[in-house]
Amino acid sequence: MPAMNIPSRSCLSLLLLLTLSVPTMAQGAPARIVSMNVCTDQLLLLLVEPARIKSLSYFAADPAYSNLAARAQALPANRGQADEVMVLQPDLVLTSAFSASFTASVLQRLHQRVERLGFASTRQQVFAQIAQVAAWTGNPDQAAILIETARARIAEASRQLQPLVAGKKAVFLSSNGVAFGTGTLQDDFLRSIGMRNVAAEAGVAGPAPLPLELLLAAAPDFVISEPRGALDQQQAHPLLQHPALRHLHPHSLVLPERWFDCAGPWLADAYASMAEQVRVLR
Amino acid sequence: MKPALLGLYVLVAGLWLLELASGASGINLAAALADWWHNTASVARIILFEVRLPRALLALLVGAALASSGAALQGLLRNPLASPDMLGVSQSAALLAVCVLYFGYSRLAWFVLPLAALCGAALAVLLLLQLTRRLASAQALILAGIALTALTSALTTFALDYAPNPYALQEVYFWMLGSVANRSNAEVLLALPFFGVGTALLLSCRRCLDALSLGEDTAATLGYPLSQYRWRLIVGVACNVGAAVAVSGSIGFVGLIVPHVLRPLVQSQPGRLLWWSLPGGSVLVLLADVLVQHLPGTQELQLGVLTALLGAPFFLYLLLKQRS
Repeated sequence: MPAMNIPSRSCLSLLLLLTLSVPTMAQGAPARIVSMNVCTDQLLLLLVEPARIKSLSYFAADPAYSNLAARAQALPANRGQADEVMVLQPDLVLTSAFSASFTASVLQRLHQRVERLGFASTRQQVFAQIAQVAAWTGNPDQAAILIETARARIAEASRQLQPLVAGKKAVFLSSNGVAFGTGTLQDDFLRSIGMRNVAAEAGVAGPAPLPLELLLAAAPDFVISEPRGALDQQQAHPLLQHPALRHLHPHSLVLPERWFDCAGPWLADAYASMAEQVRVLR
Repeated sequence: MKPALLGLYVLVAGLWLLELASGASGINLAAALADWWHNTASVARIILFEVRLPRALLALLVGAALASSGAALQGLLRNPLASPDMLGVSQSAALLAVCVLYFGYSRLAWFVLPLAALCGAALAVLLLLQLTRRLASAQALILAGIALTALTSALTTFALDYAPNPYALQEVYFWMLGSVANRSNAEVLLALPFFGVGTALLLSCRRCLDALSLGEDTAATLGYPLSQYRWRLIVGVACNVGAAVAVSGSIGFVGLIVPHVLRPLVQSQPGRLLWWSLPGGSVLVLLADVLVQHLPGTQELQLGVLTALLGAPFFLYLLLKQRS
């Protein structure tokens, strides 16, 4: 991952230190928690003291997917197999509604408490998921602080962004020509700052391929994608490299997808980074 | 020229125009041409000349290259079930292409990617030729080809899984099923010299292929230096299949069906079949790519899905007919 200028990082870490140094564990809260999904991994790392986390998915320590990779390094990793989870004798297993579903159902048949996190496609759902995981783990106070801070940072960045970008057309492009249409957090992000999502207007629902012709016809003002390094070596990532795009000269912005893949306060980093990048353009 | 062959070329021209008229955006082709004529910049012009034109050209060229390679392999191995994708030639090309692409070697020079795919195809053909000498029957060769296909496909997935790129595994679809969507004129120019050399080499062997259909000994007595022709065919198939795979992934069944459909029309002469397979392959790939763009659904299918949909039932029919 190339170095990025994220001024908010240090604020976030400070906040994390503060929240973690004040143990506010409720009575009867789970003490042996296992997570099998990179989204629940990250929320656990934010909300729960490390001693109660028995294992995280192996994606948690991968900086390509995880916003807290460095902090996950010290904890044991699992590959979502039922046996490796069982031997840890967890009192709470967290996963997403979409991953390790066979393992989750096996664990439930063995009378394990398994909680599944859904898909967050709006800011409200992001905050609700933070609160939800905190409710399962018994850390509601930490969640309240995280949510309040993120809300405030998002509001501040939105206030700066709106006069600069309102009414402009943008598109989030991922690998293999996939764009983020209706029902995605990226769509909510663009609409919240008054921008038009070209992919949603072209009829893309969820993350799905956007035909090159429609991208050209829509003539977006901004193309938002992963940092270059992750996309360089791809044959089937023709959209960003296609020579026809040169005629449009859209502004290129860089927002890592891991800020949108999982619910968490890093959504505020996306707003702050967007505000920073748009300010530099002007 | 026979009317049937002429008809084939007319069909190619019609489907090619239909392909140019097909696409996700409803641009006005006349307006796009007018903008080009008056040299005014417009989105319609960009879409026609930089998105649809390379796609239509690649469909045309890839189809011709794969079908002629299939006809050549069937003649060379004297086995009607031979074709680049049945015998693992395309998949071997894809394997080497994937290796140079995802581990960064393709950026060394423009020709590294097609050359790697070409080497993969050539290695597979050489291996198959060695096997034909040692295996007892035509069926055994096909089984060996299936094993080679499975092995190279598995190695491709393996390589993609270990590639230093979090999205590489998603691209298995492209390399296994093929597509000409979102290509640019750069890819057409990349593949064109290889298609030119490959097709010229194959066509230079058509009389020898006719002679070869009577048996290796007869061909030798008729004055054809077989080892020399064999090399020409191997390099020709490798150029065509390698370039096709480098720009469009491995598109299946084209090299198998097209020669089979056309064989009765050329009185089973392998040399003439080669000529006919060129427009025949273009017709199939253009037709499949037009269908891909017009089928309802939120996501466009990979081209190989449609050629397999058309090809697999035909292949079964072929097997049943051989039996009786």
